[in-house]
Amino acid sequence: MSAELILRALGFTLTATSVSFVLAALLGALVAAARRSPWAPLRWLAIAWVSVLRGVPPLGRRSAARSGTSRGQAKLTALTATILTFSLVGSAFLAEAYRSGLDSVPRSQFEAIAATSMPAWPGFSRVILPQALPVSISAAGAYLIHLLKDTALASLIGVQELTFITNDAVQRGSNGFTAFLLLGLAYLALSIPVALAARGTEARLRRRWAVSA
Amino acid sequence: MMENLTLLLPGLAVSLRLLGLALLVGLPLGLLAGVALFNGPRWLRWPVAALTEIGRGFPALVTVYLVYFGFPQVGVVLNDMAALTVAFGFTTASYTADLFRSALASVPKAQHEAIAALALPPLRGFALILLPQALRHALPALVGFAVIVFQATALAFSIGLKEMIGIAYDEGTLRFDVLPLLIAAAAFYLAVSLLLTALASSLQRRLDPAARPATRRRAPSCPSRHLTPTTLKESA
Repeated sequence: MSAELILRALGFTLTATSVSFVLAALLGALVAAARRSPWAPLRWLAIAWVSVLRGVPPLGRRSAARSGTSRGQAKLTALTATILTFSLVGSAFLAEAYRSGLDSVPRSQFEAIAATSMPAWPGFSRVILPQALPVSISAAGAYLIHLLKDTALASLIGVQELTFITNDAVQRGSNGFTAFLLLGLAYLALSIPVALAARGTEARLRRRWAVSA
Repeated sequence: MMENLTLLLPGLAVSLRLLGLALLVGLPLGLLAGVALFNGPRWLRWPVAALTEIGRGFPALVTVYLVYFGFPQVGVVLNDMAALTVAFGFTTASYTADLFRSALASVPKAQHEAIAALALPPLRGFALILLPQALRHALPALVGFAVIVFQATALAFSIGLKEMIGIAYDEGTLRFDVLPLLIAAAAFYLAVSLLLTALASSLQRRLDPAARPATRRRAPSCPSRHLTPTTLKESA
C-alpha cells in the first residue's frame, strides 16, 4: 500500500466528510427554519423530513441513491452519490442540532425582542443566535465526527476511501488484524482535532457571548 | 407490493435477532464499564476509558471488519452471526458505558449518604438504591441508542449476512429492479425506528417527574412542582 494510495484515499474521506457537512449545515438551517415556521404544513414537512431521513439506515440510503440514480438519466459517481446522501441526511441531524440550540434559549429572550420592538433580524442575530450557538456547535461537532466515521460506509459502494483500500489490501493478503486496527485508529486520530475544535469553539463562544441568566 | 414486504421479513428477523444479541452482550458490559468509570479504582478506569474510546472512535463497519476478517489472523475464528454479535456488542458497550456513567453520576449525593447512614453494605446499597435510580435516568437514552443499533444491523450486509438490505439487493438483481425492494427495506427500518423512538419519548415523559429531583440540581431556578418523598428529602 503506497503512501500515494493512502493519501488519495484520505482525500476521498476528507472530501466526502467536509463537503457533505457544509451542504448539510446549509440545508439544515433551512429545515430548522421550516420547523419553527408558523405555517403548519411547512412545519409538518420539516418534521417528516427529519424523522424519515434519520430513520433509515445509512447503508440503505446510499444504496438507494446509487441504484436510484443509475436508473435515471443522470449517472452519478459513487462519491457524488455519497455526498448527496450524506448532505440530505446530515441536514436532518443538523436541523435537530440547530433546534436544540434554539430551544435552549429561554422563551423570555424572544419575548424581550418583541417587547422592545426590535426588528426581527438584528433581534435574532444579536440576541438569540449568540445564546443558541454554543449548544448547536457541540451537537454539530458530534455529528461531524459521526459523519467522518460514516464515510467508511462509502467503501461499500465503491468510493476509494480509507476503508475501501484497507479492505482491498486485506483481500490481497495483508494481515487483517493489524490493518483494520490501524484503520480504526486512523479514524480515531482524525476525529481528535474535530472534537478539540468543537469544544474549543464552544468554550470561546461561551466566554465571548456570556449571558448572565 | 405485499410480496415485497413478505420477502423481506426473514431479513427483519435477522436484524431483530442481531439487535437482541448486541444488547444482550453490550448492555451488561456497558453497565460494568460505566460503574468502573464512575466508581472504579484508577488502574481500572484508564484501560476501560481507553477501550470505550476505541469502541466509540472506530466506525462500526471497521469494528465488524476487524472482528470478522482480523480476529482469524490471531486465532479467533467466528462465524458471521458470532462476529457481528461481538462487534456490535463491543460498540454498544462502549457507547452505553458513558451513558451509564453519567446516569450514575446524576443520582443525588443524598442517596449515597443515606446508604452510609443506614450502614448498608456497599454492594447492596448499590444494587437496591443507586442502580434502580440510575437505570430510570438512563432508560430513554438507552432506547434511543437501541434504535441506532437496529439501523447499524444493516452492516451485516457487508459481510454477507442477509438482512433486509441484503435480501433486497439479491432479489433486486435477479429482477433487474433493485430500487423498489430497497425502498421497501428502508421503509421497514423506518417503521421500526419510529416505533422505538416513540417508545423512547413516551418513556421519557413518563419517567421525567420521577427523575425530577436529580435534574433539579441543574435548574435551581425552577422548583419542582411535584412533592415526592425524594424532593422532601432533598429540601430537608
